[in-house]
Amino acid sequence: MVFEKASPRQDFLLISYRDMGFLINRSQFSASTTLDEVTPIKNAPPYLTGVFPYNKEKILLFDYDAYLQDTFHCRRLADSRLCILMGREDFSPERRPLIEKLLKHPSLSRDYLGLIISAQAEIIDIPLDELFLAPRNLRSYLGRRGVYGCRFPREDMIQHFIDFEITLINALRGGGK
Amino acid sequence: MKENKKIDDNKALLRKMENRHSGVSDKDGEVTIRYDKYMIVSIKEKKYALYAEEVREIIGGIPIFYVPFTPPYVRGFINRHGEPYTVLDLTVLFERENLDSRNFLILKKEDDQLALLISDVVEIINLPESDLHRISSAVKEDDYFIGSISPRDQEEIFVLNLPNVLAKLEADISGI
Repeated sequence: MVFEKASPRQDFLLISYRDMGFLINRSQFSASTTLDEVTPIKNAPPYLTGVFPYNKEKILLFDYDAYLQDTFHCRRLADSRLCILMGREDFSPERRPLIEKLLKHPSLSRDYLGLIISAQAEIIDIPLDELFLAPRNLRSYLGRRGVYGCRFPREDMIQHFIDFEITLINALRGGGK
Repeated sequence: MKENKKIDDNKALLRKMENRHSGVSDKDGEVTIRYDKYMIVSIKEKKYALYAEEVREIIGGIPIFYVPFTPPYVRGFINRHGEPYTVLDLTVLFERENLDSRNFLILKKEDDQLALLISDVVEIINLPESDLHRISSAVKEDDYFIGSISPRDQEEIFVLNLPNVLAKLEADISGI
């Protein structure tokens, strides 16, 4: 009898678009919530589009949905959107100061940043054998931009394995597109 | 006394003379002609050649998935047995236009995954090594071609210098 060793599995947030999806390590964010009463803000850096009330605080919102559509040329499946909350502690120590600086405004929550994502999202666990790193010719280059690899669940579908933190910070620094 | 074989075809005779000058001969003093196998492909209306040994597989009819941040001649990834392959579009490099095709050459790379977008495979031919007309004795870093061949004395077909094409990708992304 031959026993095959099972591939280790990992929880990912899967955000789905037409012909494309994005896999984000579940450990990169704290919680998710519905988006209500969003107040738009003007003259803000790219993709920082509004604030919304959460636990008696105002959370600054980064439009990650717009960032993904602009950067990966993908189209949304539906109009509804939700919010992912990233706590200060979710960021690595070397990038945390940038987020702390961003959330320094007295009217904002200093603990959380909200990321608007498409509501076509779910938590799935995937065997790591199904994920492939980017080809070696682009691996470190894309990795520095937060794109690590991908999975092909169907012939006509790709799911990019991306890093929430790196893509977010790059977009805030203007290197999104 | 050893009998000399007569060569009726002047082209073969010239080739033999050329090879003798380059010192390629067998034990009996007979010239051994080395052959290279080329794959000739069409990219739009132009033909290009590459060494057949550089190609692992020809695949077609699959979609290209866009990948951001890359130079324009990187068209994205394709899915080959579940593994991503970087697709290079040489038309963008040579003519600054996208090639509209879904045919690919999977390149034979030991530790990398690369594919070339092509219109079609035309033929695979064997030609004497001496039929390659090298562009210059020393191939420069930015030369995308090693030289050219003229199978059956017809049109001139440029032979791709794949290592230099890949070196360009490496140089371009290291500068971004």
